[in-house]
Amino acid sequence: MNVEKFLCDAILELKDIDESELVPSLSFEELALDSLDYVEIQLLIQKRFKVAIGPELFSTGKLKNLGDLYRHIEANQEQALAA
Amino acid sequence: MERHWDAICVGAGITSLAFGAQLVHRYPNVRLLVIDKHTVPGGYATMFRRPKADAIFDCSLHKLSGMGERGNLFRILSDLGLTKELDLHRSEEYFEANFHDRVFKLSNSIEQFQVDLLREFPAQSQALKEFFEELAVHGRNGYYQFQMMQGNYEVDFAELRFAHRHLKNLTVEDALRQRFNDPDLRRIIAATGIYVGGFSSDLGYLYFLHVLYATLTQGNAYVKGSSQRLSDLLAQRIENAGGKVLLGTNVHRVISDNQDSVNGVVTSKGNFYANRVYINASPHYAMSQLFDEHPGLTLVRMKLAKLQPSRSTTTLYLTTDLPPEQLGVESAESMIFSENLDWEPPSQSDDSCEMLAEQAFWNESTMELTNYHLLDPSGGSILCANVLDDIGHWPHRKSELYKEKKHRAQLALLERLYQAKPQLCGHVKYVELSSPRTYERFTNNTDGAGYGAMVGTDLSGHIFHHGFPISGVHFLSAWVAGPSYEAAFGYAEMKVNQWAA
Ligand SMILES: Cc1cc2nc3c(=O)[nH]c(=O)nc-3n(C[C@H](O)[C@H](O)[C@H](O)COP(=O)(O)OP(=O)(O)OC[C@H]3O[C@@H](n4cnc5c(N)ncnc54)[C@H](O)[C@@H]3O)c2cc1C
Repeated sequence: MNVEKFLCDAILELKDIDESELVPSLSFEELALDSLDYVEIQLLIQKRFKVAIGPELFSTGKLKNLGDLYRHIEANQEQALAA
Repeated sequence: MERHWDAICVGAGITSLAFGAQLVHRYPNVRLLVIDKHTVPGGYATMFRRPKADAIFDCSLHKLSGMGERGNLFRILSDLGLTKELDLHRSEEYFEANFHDRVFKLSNSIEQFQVDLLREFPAQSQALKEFFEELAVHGRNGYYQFQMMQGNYEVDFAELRFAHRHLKNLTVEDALRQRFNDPDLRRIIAATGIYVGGFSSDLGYLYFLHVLYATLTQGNAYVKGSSQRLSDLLAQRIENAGGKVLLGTNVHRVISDNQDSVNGVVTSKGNFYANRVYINASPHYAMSQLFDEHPGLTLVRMKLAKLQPSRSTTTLYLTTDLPPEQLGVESAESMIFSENLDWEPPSQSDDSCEMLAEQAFWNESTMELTNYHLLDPSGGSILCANVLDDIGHWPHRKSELYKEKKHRAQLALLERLYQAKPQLCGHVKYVELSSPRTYERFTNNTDGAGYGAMVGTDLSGHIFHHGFPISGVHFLSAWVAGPSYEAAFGYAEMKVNQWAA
């Protein structure tokens, strides 16, 4: 399953929003995630893709929207799988 | 004094000190400046002296959770090599429950605590069994949350999912009503909320399970010599590594370069420079006082509006002429419950009826009483009684009305204490009261909330600092970590882990 599809499904589980709104430019602000939602997303990604998302990636704003997150996972996935 | 540092902390509360001590332990060359307006380090983790009464009073309860073998706090303090230097007192009891018609003790071990509750509430045995199963799973997962985020704790994802879906949005009040039909049992369990500044109608149930898990299963200990001892040890570590804890110095403003990255602070002793500034003060206060206007801050303020301060406290400090154990205060901690079963705290906005607020907060909410003499006899015959309160019905400090109100509070709390512990009558030598205004004055915490933020059911305000528009600014305190020393240390550890990132 590709990264984007997997995360979209996870977010649809987490938040009551319409699938058509889940575009890569959708920011985490707009998604209105709370602190435990972030924890859940971080763990989900770690478990599924073996990519660690340090909490600072969200808090410093390095990952601002869904597109950033997809790219970050894809860029780190190969390395994670090889490890 | 040297004006350039690697990092500056605004505030020397326990969270800053925990961060600083761990930072210099891991990176001995880092030069850290910690600045506080107060003349002693520790923020709320301090004590104050009353030489005429021959008394030293601890400001908080100084009960440390997570001090058992598998406790998060014990691990951090051991890594720092501090457990040997701290003289700890471990109590047999969680607390003594005082109802007007019966008094009984509850053990500090979770197994025995369950047995004690079953003995007192046999009709609730099935409900208690299910409750403790819930606590064992969801309390534990919450407790290891920082570990989980760092990949050091494996969680069952289905459990986590279930908790976030079904327990996060419940208040403690609603959850306990669904689970138990005995109001006394509900009050006993909810009493733990006083450790984190919330009534059962305020706190989120999932978070509450974690607090109960931490305090009941991970080992409690009290620090002899008050929480000041711990604060002083941490401050010493920072200074021994070449850092500086600069006291009696007010931070007026945070300075930023082109407004996009931080480069220092303006204080009552001049400017100090660093590319990283850690704010330990309340974020509400910081956002209204410490930053110049910046377009990006509007969004931060909007998000911050959702971060609710916890309840404040009104505290009665007293000394007795005999050891309190000889005057009927047999446990280190007692919870004193009122007779009124269905009282409600007046809402924060409703300070219109002062009498109602006084009645509710001072007479009808649960009162917590600590016997410091039992914890450390060398400190004198000292007792301390706490009730949760709200700053909304307290006038400003310098008014006549304020003095009168303090006097009323003192009488009300003393009377309640004498009712629950009649042998204290005639043996109290010295009394002093602190109000929510006292906390506001000493810590700059808005709403006088010594605990920090309330962890209720809406957690969206807890990420107000995400994407902060001025790079190099970090927030570091009970307002983001969650009330209690253990949470403060855990969050500080996470921030240290991010230092090199
Ligand atoms: C009654 C009570 C009992 C408690 N008991 C316990 C307990 O038994 N166990 C437990 O684990 N927790 C307990 N807590 C909770 C715990 O005390 C707090 O969560 C913790 O002390 C908060 O620490 P902090 O560093 O985040 O904030 P603070 O202690 O508020 O520190 C903030 C610091 O910033 C400084 N500051 C603010 N503005 C400025 C400025 N402009 N310039 C310079 N300095 C500034 C302040 O002076 C202060 O020193 C208790 C709390 C209360 C209210």
